[in-house]
Amino acid sequence: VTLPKTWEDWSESSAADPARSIGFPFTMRQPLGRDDQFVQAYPEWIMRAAHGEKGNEPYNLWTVDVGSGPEKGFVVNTFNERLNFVKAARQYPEFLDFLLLTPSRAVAEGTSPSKDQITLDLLVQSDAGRLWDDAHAALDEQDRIENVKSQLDLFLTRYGERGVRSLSKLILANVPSGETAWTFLQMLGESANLNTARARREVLAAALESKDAALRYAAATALGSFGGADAAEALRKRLIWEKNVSVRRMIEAELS
Amino acid sequence: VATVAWDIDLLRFSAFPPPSVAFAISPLWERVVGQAPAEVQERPQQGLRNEIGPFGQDTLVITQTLVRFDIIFGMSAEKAASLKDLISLGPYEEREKPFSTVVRKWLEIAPTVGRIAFAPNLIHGVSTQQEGYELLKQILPALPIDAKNSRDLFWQINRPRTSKVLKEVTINRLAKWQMLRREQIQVIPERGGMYTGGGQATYALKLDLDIYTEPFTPIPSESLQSLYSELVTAADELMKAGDVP
Repeated sequence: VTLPKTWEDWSESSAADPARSIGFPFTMRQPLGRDDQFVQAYPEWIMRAAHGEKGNEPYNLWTVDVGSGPEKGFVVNTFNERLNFVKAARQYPEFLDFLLLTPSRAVAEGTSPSKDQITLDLLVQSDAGRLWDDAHAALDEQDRIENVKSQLDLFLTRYGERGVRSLSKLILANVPSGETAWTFLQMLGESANLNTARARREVLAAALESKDAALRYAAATALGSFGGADAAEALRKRLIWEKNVSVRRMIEAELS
Repeated sequence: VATVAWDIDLLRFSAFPPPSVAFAISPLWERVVGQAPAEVQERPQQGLRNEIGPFGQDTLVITQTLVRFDIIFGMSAEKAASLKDLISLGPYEEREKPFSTVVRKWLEIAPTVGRIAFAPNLIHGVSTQQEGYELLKQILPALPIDAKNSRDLFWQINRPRTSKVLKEVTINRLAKWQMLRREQIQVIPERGGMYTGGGQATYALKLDLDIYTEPFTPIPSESLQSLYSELVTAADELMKAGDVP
């Protein structure tokens, strides 16, 4: 969990996802040393955000049952108040100063990724998409598939688990699945990249629980290629629920 | 144990992808609600999509990110602003079902998930602080509450149980119990001041539940509906029986 460092960081995340970025519902308690300012400023900002600059309309707040003085706090828990809270935070940057001084875990939850992270994610997604397209185009030609395998190894070396996660989206989202997804599962099962072994196995285990029977079949085969106790455990767990005869047979074959 | 008729402050259902897996983001509202959303907010670069629209008299938000999916049932700003008394979405007994219908429609089309959670935030109005603590004394029998001389109660505890649907899964039953006081605060910004006591204070019990599965591992799709029912049943029991191990 990373605390937002600047107003811009926090504003970005809350604008995109107000409910999660500040972890509602949460309780704000008055920061020590700024008692009067906080008690007065908090409802004022909320009220202004809700009603504009009309100024003197009464505003209803839930207050925590903690008496008064430095222990005074507010519960931000209604949908309405959440929206107003975000509006207030956007309009009054000093509001954030109070929040950052408040030892509230809620403020720290779910902040948006940094620009560097977004840039890297976009690069990984772009490369994953290119790899996917190459594999799709190469399905009927063994030589080209070997080339895609080499590309996948480079991709995994370069991006590690982040790369596996990016591929997982392509594999699991394209339902009903096709030969490209099955090929990727097989390649993930056979890859020798040690740094991504756990992540690759986890993606195969997730595919084994897909609603798509063909994807489960391919995942069972790939987990067999992957080997090891954890892969076998995933296969055994699936066998309890599996109704599709072909998939069952494949799992049993891989376990035998 | 006293029977408390809980009202809804907020309902949330959440799902998380299994480890090392990312969710794909796509339009969902229409598929699970049956009509187009009123508003769509999308940030493709960040991998975020919010679909928002009316749900009965209130609001439903479907939020998708690469690592989390939420359906949130809350109050529209307009309705909340118009209410004078206790702000709630109405009785849990009545309003949970349409929400769960939407959740179940999503579960039918859901990708592989690693964890699901049902998190109702509930509220129950009482006349006085003492009445509230009398009720808390009954629904939190393990606590030494003196109803006349107790304040500032906040009781948070997880009472995990083994799932009956999936033996290897634990159902975490996290509950936060507290007492709230609502009072009108009159603010006069140009004078930089705030005055309380503009109206009579009202009181409410608050119960925030977070019922979620553990460990974080792929959940068989065939078990999702039953597992969700188990989460709802666990929430019902906490609401009805109070804090019982």
